[in-house]
Amino acid sequence: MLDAHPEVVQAEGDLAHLAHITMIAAVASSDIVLSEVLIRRVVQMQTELEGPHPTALESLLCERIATCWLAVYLLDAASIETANGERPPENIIEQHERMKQKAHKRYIEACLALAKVRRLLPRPRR
Amino acid sequence: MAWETRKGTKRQYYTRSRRVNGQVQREYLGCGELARLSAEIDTSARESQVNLRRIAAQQRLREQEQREAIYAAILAPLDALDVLCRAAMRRELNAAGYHQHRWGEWRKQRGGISKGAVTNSSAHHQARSDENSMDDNRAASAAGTCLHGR
Repeated sequence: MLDAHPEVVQAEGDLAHLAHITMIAAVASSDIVLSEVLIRRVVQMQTELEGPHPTALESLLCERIATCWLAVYLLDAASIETANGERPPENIIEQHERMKQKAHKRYIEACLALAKVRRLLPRPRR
Repeated sequence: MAWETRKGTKRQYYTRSRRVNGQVQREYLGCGELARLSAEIDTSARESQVNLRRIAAQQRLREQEQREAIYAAILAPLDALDVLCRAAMRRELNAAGYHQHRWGEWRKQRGGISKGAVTNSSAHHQARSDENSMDDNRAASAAGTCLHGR
């Protein structure tokens, strides 16, 4: 049955897509519109980065950049207020800032990796 | 807040200590019904404060666990993707004849020149590698700025 429907295999085996859903659900599980918009935005970004005829490695690196962008976006959007809506203590705010900086650093590293690969391994002309 | 036994008597007297303007003041409530009721009220208030502190601590712990679960859900997929991308990148670049110099820049091996040799051509290659690294940084910064601004 799976052989007759490769699109099912493609969809269910797309671990990156599943990871994006999990990431978005951690922050915006109740906002369906935002979830759908973000999923489409990530796919759109990856397609734009890949350009025409990407190699498998470039596709993987573009997927990494899009995933890192999503992590940065979600951490920026995540609310760290306490249950009664008060401003959290300074150590909590610092912890959140450290997480955001970690995600941003990984995003920059992912961009650097793609730039490096594109410079060192130019695409074959078609 | 304590029951005291005075010398020469078997009765217990209830006293309450409070801090007023930085000084400790002691209040004597005697040994009768008033003292007994005051003791019960003070005990009840103390237990309420302990319960409130315990509930607040549990609430803080729950909030911290929720935050850590969110961070793990957002950052964990990046770990697996990083490992995969690094391995794929290393494999492709090695196959194309590049090697990573001291866990830093990637250099292409050229025939007849050893890695440690210092020659004019290798110095020129080093300068070009440095320029290319700067190009990478500029390209990556431009890509990052472009994406972030959307």
